[in-house]
Amino acid sequence: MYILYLWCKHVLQFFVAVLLSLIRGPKIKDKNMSLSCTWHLWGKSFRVGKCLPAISNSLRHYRNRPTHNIGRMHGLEKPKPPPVRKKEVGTWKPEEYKAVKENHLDALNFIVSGYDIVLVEQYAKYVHQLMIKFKQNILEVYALPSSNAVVKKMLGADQRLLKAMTPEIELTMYKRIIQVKDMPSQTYPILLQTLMHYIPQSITLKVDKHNEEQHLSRYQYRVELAEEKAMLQQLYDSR
Amino acid sequence: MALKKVFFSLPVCSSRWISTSCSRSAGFQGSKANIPLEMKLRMIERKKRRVEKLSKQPLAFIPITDFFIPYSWKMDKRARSKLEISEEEEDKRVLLEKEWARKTFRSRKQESWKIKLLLRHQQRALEELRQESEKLYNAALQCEDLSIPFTCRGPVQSTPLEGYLPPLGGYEHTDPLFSKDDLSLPEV
Repeated sequence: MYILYLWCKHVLQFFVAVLLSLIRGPKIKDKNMSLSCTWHLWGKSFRVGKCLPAISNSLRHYRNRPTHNIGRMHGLEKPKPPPVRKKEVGTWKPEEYKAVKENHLDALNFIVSGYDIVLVEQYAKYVHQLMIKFKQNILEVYALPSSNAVVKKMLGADQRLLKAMTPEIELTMYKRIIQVKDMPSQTYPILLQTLMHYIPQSITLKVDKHNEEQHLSRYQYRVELAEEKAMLQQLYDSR
Repeated sequence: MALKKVFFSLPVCSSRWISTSCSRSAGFQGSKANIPLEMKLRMIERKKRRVEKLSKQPLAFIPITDFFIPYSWKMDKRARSKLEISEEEEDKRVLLEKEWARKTFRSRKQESWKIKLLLRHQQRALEELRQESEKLYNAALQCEDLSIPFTCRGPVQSTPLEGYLPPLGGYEHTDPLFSKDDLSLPEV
């Protein structure tokens, strides 16, 4: 009986909602974009196309029945991508960085660099958050190894004696990269404008296409391999 | 080869045996100027295999030393003395923070609204253009004219100080660790 009562209640609600919507008419959010329109009724908004539950009994769970957890959507785990093989670490795969759709940009690197780590981190965070807000396909957000600039002081300014001068201060250049893929070519200038507006002092923002050189700059130089290759070249030349 | 045979046939106590010159895998000890071709080819093949083996090893990331704290900083018990703030001062500060939060929230909201408006207008303009001509619409969506190698610098120069003489000297830039070979390789 209770189930019948619930069913009747929901059916009645549905019909009343339909009637009211017909009287009031649809409330279109954007007159230019006719893709989505929400019908506001009785404090609830029923989106056109969404199916209504005929019987919704959210009080009981029937955990001992085999039908338990049917229709459960929250708490599901996304399928994890397969782990990267040891051999494939660091290999350059250009297909990964190409745009999938037409008139969309390939993988872009937004490089934030500066001598002040606090500002660099904060601005990189801002860039990242902006990309998230505009629902861009962010591939990776990583840091490049930092390089040093040693400031040397001496009485004369002869650049040839630079190595002999005593170091005064050591400044490290910090770099953060935000890698974005498949950005529509229309949104790119708008995002650039906002980034230009909010850039802090002494920070440089550089936008570049992702290529093999930049990809390999993250990895260590292999000394042994280079030595062996040099020896091989020697043998080839001496033939 | 004959020398090796002589050495290993000698009656010697194995625990006291210390070889200073003889080794099974010493390789070619003579001058590398005049080597027979066969030997050279074998050496080349061996080198090739070695290079292949090394190149199969996975690349290692350069460690990021941005947040490494110097050891000396950790040893001393360095701590700031506690500041005693009166309640009134604390209340003032908290209220100021709240004001600031309100301001920034408002400005951020306005900014995102403006950007959304911009995007909306852009979409509309593109739709209108499409109705005018397909060619122009396709040309407008092209990725070629965009400024892709783009650099932008935040404000760097401050107002000059009166009567300030900058010291003489220079900058020396160094590469990050492990990015280049630190040892001096023989030139090929």
